[in-house]
Amino acid sequence: MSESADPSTAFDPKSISERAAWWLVRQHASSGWTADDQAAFEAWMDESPAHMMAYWRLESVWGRADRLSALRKTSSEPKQPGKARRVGPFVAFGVVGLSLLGLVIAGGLSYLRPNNAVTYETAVGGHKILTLADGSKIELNTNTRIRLTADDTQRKVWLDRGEAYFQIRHDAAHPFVVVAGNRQVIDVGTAFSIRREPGRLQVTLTEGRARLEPTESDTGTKSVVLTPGDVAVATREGIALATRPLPELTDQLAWRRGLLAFDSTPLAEVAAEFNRYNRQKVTVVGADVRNVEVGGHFRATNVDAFKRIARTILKLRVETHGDETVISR
Amino acid sequence: MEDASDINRGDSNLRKAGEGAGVSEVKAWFVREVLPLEGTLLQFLRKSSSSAADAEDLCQDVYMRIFVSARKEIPNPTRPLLFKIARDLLVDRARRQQIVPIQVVENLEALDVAIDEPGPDRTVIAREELRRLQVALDKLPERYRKPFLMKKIDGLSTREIAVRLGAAEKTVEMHLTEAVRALADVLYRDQLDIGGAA
Repeated sequence: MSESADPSTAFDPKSISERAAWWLVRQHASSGWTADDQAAFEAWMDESPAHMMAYWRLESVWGRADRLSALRKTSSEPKQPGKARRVGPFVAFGVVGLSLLGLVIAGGLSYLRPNNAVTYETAVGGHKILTLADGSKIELNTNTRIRLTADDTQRKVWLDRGEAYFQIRHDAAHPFVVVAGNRQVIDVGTAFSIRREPGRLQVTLTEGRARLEPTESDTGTKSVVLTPGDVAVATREGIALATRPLPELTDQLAWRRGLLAFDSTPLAEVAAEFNRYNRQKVTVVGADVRNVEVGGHFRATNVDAFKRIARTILKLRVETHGDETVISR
Repeated sequence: MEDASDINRGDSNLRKAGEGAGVSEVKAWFVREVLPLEGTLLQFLRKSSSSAADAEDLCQDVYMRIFVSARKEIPNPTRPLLFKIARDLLVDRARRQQIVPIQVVENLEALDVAIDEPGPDRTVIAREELRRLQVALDKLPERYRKPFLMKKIDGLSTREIAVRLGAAEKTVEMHLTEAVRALADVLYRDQLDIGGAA
């Protein structure tokens, strides 16, 4: 039949498939998709249904990979119900490849005085790494502000808002204190992350030891000593302490790599996480929809991936007007 | 932004391509109904073909014919028509060649069974496909898998991927095309010999 008049025999499937893949990737490449590209692509698609079908075939795989990202984490071990409530995905900075600013605070901290604290902040979606003169590092997540000061007796940081990861060089003579509202963390040579939200403070400790205690202005609560793996959530009601396996901590600190990690996380919380990093705000409407659970890793700034999954995988309605997106049934 | 809705973008392209509104309908049907049958179809065609490439050609022919048919009316159900077309093609070919290999005759009889057999439940297919996609990803050579995951899961641009991997952007694009093609073969044909994609 190879000599028949049937036009389809004239095609070499292999090369059609290669061509189709090339078009697909080109559309998603950085170098821009011009009107000319579009015209050439349409012309190619018009040439033969074989082209269309080859393209659809690969495009369907390309799209399906989103589903993989949505389900990626959910196959992991079951959650331990006895533990304190799920700790939200953490702030972390993707050091890799992001446009990170490594700032060295020159001259050491010792010349700083409490009343001339230095302020550092990030905008929504921002990320900054500060390197202090003593070798300590502070990574600021999205929409975060800290103030730094040091004197002869201590190094002190106020976390005014947002989330930061601290890697503190121990110095017995100058304890490192992080103040967040009416609580403070006093380090004894540690790495830890603090996230501050209205009415809630979360401290995750990955190395060393630190003490979470009330500031002097609040004597109502006790202090807690944190060891690696500890996640402390402080609210007005008190402090809930849970210990997490290290892989889970890595997820919580995914922000340091510019990622958000979810594991059976309700859609409403997922949206809230994305909203921390993006000007585009997503609202999830309807109790049943808000509770749909999602897992996987997302780039914190990739709201489109989130929306696409809501639409194509979860089959939800996604409507965007300007910077506002509503997800509903 | 560049990664915005793949599917919608494809649809609008096609509508503009002047094929009429039916094309996006055909597309949805093709992806939903035909592609999941590709593995079974190819397996059947291979038994009646001289080579794997021959079976590929036949598969393309079957697709062309069912496409033409779907442009008139979307087949429902799809499976019997797809295999009827395959059988007709084989019969045509056998007639033209004036030799009917015994194997083909056997297959044509076996095919009657295949046509009537209900396909697996769609949710089962979906779950199975997902599992295979995961397996396939694991089997992809590192140079294909890495950029694919960076693109699809991290949402990085090809330029960012190139920077991170220390590769030329063209190389990243090439590896992405190989990755998606290899994944399609695993997903739709259960062919795990991804080394062939290199």
